[in-house]
Order: sequence, then C-alpha cells, then structure tokens
Amino acid sequence: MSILSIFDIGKTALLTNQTAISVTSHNIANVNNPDYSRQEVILGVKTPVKIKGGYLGRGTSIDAIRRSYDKFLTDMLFNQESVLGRSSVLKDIISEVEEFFNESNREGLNSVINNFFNSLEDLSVNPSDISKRIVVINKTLELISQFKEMENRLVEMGNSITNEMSIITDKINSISRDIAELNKKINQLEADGVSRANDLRDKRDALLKELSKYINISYYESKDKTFYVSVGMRNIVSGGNFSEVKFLNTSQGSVFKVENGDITDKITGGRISGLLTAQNLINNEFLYKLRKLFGSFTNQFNLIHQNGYDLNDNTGVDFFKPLTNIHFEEFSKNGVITSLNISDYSALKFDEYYINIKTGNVYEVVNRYTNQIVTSGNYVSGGTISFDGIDVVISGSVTDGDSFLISPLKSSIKDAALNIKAPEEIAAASTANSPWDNTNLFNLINLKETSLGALENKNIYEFFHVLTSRVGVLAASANDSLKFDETLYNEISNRKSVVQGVNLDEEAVNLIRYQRAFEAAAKVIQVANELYDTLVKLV
Amino acid sequence: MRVNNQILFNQIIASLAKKNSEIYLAHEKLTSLKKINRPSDDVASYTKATNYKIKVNSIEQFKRNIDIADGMLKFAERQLNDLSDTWDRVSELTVLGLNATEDSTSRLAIASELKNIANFMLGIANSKYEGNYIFSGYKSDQPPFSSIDSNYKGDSNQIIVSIDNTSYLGANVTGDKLFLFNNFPSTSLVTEEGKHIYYNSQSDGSLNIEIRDRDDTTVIKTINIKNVIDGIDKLSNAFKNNNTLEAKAIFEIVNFAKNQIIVSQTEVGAKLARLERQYEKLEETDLIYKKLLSNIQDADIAEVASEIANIQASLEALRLSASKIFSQSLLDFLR
Repeated sequence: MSILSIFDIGKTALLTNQTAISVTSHNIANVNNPDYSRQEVILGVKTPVKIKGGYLGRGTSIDAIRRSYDKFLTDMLFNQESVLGRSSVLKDIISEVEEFFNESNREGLNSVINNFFNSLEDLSVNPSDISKRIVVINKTLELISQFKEMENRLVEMGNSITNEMSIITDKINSISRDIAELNKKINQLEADGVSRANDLRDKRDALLKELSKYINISYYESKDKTFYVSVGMRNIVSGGNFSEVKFLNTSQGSVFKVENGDITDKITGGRISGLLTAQNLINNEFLYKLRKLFGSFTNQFNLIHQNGYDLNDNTGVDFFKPLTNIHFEEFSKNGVITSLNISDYSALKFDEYYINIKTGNVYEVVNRYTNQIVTSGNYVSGGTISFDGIDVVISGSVTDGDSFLISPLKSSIKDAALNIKAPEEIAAASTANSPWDNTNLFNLINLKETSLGALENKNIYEFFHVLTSRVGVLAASANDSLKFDETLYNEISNRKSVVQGVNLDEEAVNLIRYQRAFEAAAKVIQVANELYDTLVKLV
Repeated sequence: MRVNNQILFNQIIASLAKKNSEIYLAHEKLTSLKKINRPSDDVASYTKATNYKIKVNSIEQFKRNIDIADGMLKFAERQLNDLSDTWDRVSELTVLGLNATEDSTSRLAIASELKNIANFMLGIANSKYEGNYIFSGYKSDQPPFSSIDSNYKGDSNQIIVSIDNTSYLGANVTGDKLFLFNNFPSTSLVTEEGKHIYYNSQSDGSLNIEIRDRDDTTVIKTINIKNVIDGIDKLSNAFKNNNTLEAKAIFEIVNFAKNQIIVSQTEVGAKLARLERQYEKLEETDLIYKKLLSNIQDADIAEVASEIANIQASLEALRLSASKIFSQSLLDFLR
C-alpha cells in the first residue's frame, strides 16, 4: 500500500468523470435527434486489494455506457408507424377523390346530368326548334367530357399510386441494404461480447422505423447476434444479406414478391398497404361504378332514342355512339377468343366477367365483382357462349384453370361520343312526320326517374348519390382513423421519449455533478502530491 | 413522468398544428358561408342537400315549362277570341241576309264580307307561334288548311308539357276541335217552306248537307262542307246567288262552330288558371326547399365568427405558454 496508489485512485476518478462528462456532452449534443437514445455511464468499483484489516478500494471504473432503451415501446412504435403510414396515405388519396365528387361549391357530374335533362325539357316544349336542339347537343358533349374528365382523374390517380408503389419499393430495398450493412458493422463492433454499439443501434432503429412507415415488418435478433427483418413471413434482411422486394404491375392489380413468393396479401400496414387499398377502391369501386353508370345510362338512352323519329323522319338511330369495343384478356395457352359480339343491347349489364374453365371441359361465367355464376355449360371449341347480351366464341383446346376476362365496362367512358351528326337527328317524336310530337322526348326525360336493373335497381341520380355518399363515408372514416392513429402514435412516441429522450436540465445537473467530482478527484491528486512532497522533503 | 425537451417541443408543435387546422376549417366555413364543404363533413346532410338541389333545379325547369306553355296558350286564347268575335259577325250577317226584306244587292254585299271573313279565318287557322302552326297538333310544319276548301292536314295530338313531377298539360288546341264537324249531330229539319234538310258528318271531318224537296225523297242539292271556314265560303256563295234556302241550310253550322270555339275557350281559360296556380305552388315549394337547403348547408356566421374568436384566444394562450417554457432552462441559472 503506497502513496502512489492514491494517485491511481485519483486517476481513475479523473478519467471516469471525464468520460461521464463526455457522455453528458454527447447527450446534450443529440438533444434534438428524435432517434437518439439517451446514454448513461454505469459506474463500477475497481477490485479492492487485501490489506491488513480488510479490503482497500482502488478507485472507480466504467462498467458500461448504456443507452436507455425500451424494446416493447420500440416495437409498438414501429407497429404504429405502419398503421399511421397506411392511414395517412388513405386519407390523402380518398380526400383527393372526394374533391372530384364534391359539388358543394362548384359544378360537377350531378349538375352536368341536370343540365342535360333540362335541355331536353326545354326542347320538349318546342321540339322542332333547331336552336334548342343545338343546346341539347352541346349539353350532351359537356356530359360526355365531364364523365371523361372524371374517369381520367381517377385513372391518373391510379397511375400515380402505381408510381409511388414502385418508388417505395426502391426505398424499401435501399433501406434493407443499409440495414444489412449496419448489421455487419454492429457485429464487428460488438465482437468482444461486452461493448454495445449504441449509436449504430440507434441508427438501425431509425432505419427500421422508416421501413415500418412503408410496409409492416417484423424483426428479431437471434442468439448468435444475427439480425433478421421480414415482410410477409419472408426475410428481406438476414444479418449482412438482403433480398429485394419486387413490385409487378399486372392487369389484375399490383403484386409484391420477395424471392418469387407473393406477399401482397400479407401487407397489412405501411404506406404500401394504404396504396393497395386505395388502388382497389379506385379500380374496383369508383371507376367500376362510374363506368357502369355512364354505360348503362347511354345504352338505355339509345334504346329509347331508337324508337323515336327525328325531324327527317328517320328512326332506329342511336343517340350516343353504341358500345362496340369489348375489352378482353386471355389467360390460356391454346384457347383464343375468335369472336366477341353484342347480340342484344337491351340485355347488356355493363359488368366484367371471367369465363373460367373447370375440370371436365366445363366453363363457368362468373361476375368479377359479385363472384356470382352468370351461366355455365360444356365447353365446345368454336361454340358460342352467350350471357347478358354478349356472344363469345372461344376456339382451341382449353385446360382446367384457363380463364378469359370479358369487360364491356372498361371502355364505356373512354370510347364515349355522340352518334348523331346533326341537331335534326334527335328523335323527339314517336310518330313519323310530326315535328311537334314530343312524346319520345318525354320517354327520354323519364329515364332520369327510371330504376335500371344494371344500376342495382336505382335511377341514375340515386346510383350517383350512393357513390358520392360512399366516397364521403370513406373520406370521413379515413379522416377519423388518421386522427386516432396520429394521437396513438404521439402517445407511444412520447412514452418512448420518456425513456429515451434527453432532458437538458437533467444533463446540466449531471454536468455540474461530474465537474465537481472531477475537481474533487483533482484535489485527491493534489493531496497525494503534497503527501509525496512531504515524504521527499524528509529525505 | 420524465418529461424531456423533445416531449415539450412535440407537444407544443402538435397543439399549434391542431389549432391552426381548426382555424383553417372555421375560416373555410366563413368564406364559403357553408358548414358542409365536402361530402365527408356530413355525408347524410350532403346527400340531402344534393337531393334538395335537384328538386330546386327541377322546380325551376317546371317554372320555365309553365312560362312557355303559358305563352302558347295565351297566343291560342287570343286567336280563339278573334275567332269567337268573327263568328258573332258571321251570325249577324247571316241573320241579316236571311231577312226576307233584304234584296239581292244587299245580299251581294253580305256575301262579299263573308268571303273576306273566310279568308281572315283561314289566316287565323294557319297562324304560327315561334315557327310552328299551332292548330296542327304534332304536324306543326304544315298549315292545318292549305286552302279554304281543303281537308284538315293536322292531327288531334296534344303538345304535352310537364308542369310537375307527375302532371302534364296539353299546351295547344288542335284544329279538328275548332274547324271540323266530327261532333256535329246527324240531324234533319224541315224549313218553313216544307223542305227537308239532312246533316251528316263524315269521317274526314267534313259535313254533308242534303236538301230534299217536300216529298222528302227528291234531292235538290247536296253540299259537302270541308270545314267551318269552307262553310262560311259556301254561305257567301249562297248569298251571292241569292239562294236563301242554301244559306238557311248552312246557317245551322254557325252556332255549332261558335259553340266549339267557346268550349275550347273555356278549356284554355281553365288551363291558364291551372298554370297560374301551379306556378304559385311551385314557388312555394321552391321556397320550402331553399329554406331546407339553407338549414342544412349554410353556416351561421355569428356562430362561426365566435368559434374563430375562441380558437384565436386559445392559440394566443398556447403561444404565450410556449414562449415561457422555451425561455427557461437550468443552464440560465448556472453562472
């Protein structure tokens, strides 16, 4: 036991407190970094030495520099990040769609339909008036262009959703690459089994948080310190390796794959999930109903118009360009659609159908939206399959699982146009050679009050209102869930911050505390020095 | 709870954002003067408001229809008044002409005036309203009578105008009801001289008058009158030829024709009254729907203004407390 050991004790105290001041400074420096976890020095006692009468302490040591971290809260936060990512995307997109349908402060589809019927009413009191006929033509063109604009906006929105999906997929892949890199570094730094790479782990957490925003993930660290991140039960990061998420834009919808495994259905959170839901709503509900509305309405209008006589005594003429172009897709190796015709316009329902081939050469025509079987029968190559006013001929050998998509719906708005060439061709009369006969006009006007089978037994106004209400309800609930999810997110984020965040007052106190201890340790060394001096002077 | 700087900052930022969005929405209400600015604000009320708007729109359409029907019927009414007056004059002239004291010269003058009247009446029958022959029914591109002694070229169809969701009204009078003999009763009469006169209306709307001698078998003359105007013309000819027997035989149609006009006048008058009532009714309904619409969608300005004042007050309080919190730190006191 020598005086020199006092120097040693003083030295440990000096160095330890100096480190503590460094850690405190590090905390202060990162006060505004939301991903940073507060660090603290865990002090230990150096192994004492045995002297006569007991054990004598040898000073202090640093056992660890530990970050304040709560795994449970972190998991919850990542989870909520996914929930929030989903609901914020849904809110953004549906609010925008809602604006398309919103007619509170401006004119929209509703008013264009109104104007169209008003022009017919105005014509009905003087059906031979050419100027009123021209107004009808103009209002019809407005009607068509408004529907086209609406469709276009929705289609554009669908395209931008697809774009965002592809951009997000790239981001996900670049994040998983970064995480894999970080895993390697963390493993190197923690190779001694004692040290913790606090700042790199914070960085990895920040990446996981960003990843959660895009897609719902799960992650775990195995006993051998390999860190895994997975999406839809498939690993995208395994230690230092990563697998890419692939995004495919097919005619049947968006598909996400990891190593050829389809994970689309397992994406339940994150922005991608919100985009998938929004895309589904736009394609399979909003666009579907809009096209159905316009197709059914114009088709019905034509059927009535055909019954009437125009000013030139012609009859049997369509007012709108009738549907001729039926969209189809073939999912078959040998089977091809050789003919596709409309046999009965009055039976047209403006839906989409799958002709599915089942075992035993049996075909089944299924409504794509309701999944109801429309008709079925035995498949004969070159035979005609008829349903809802459509005749399809498929030739070639088909096999079980083959499928054909028939859509009289898809181009109903895209191909829309006026069929008549001149205002005289509006068939206002029910009898030939009667310029002031307005009875067919009344039949046309009455269409606005007529419930149509193709429109779920609603009239066109009701059908459109149901669609608008649906958009409104979706927007309202998207708003509400975003508010709720945000509140919850902030709550969890605050709770996490309670554990991990830096408090400047606290750090200021620590700074003073360690400064005082440092001063005291310096005093110890001074005293030891004086003791030493005293002894030296004795000599 | 271990409050730290980030929680403080986040909370204040979140509160500021919340208050700002509240003030934005309140301001939107104030500028649009509407409390429903998009479907999601209140889906049920939005749908209701849209329905009311459609109702208001259709009421406006019905009012426009009524205006036009009113114009057409008033035009027809004027023509009918002229016709009625003219028939009065025909009646006067014929009575005068049949008077035994009149001589052939004065009858010639009567004949000439009747001839003018027939032409005048043809003009009325072929009158046009906004380019359409109004007494032709649906065949509005053809005059009802191409000449005085022609058959009726129009039809008996009514120009239907909708004046309500469920009611329609014919806004025209067809020529067959004014100028043809379809409703002329088949009768016969015996004149003072003992001559028999038989009246038979034909399927084409014309009238056959058969004058028989005293024996009720010898046919003296058969006159075919295509329409009532033709009747006046034939009357004029009878007076020109000083043939009072013929004139007397034809005279029977004058009262019939006048009655036909009166029936149509009454009908048109009733329709015009109905239009007027309907218009008033529509205006009342219009007012009701506009009021309902306003109740649903219009913002109460006073309420919105006080809402804004409230939010502003709490926003100021928030800013004040934030500035106090941020200006203090332990570091300030460690000198």
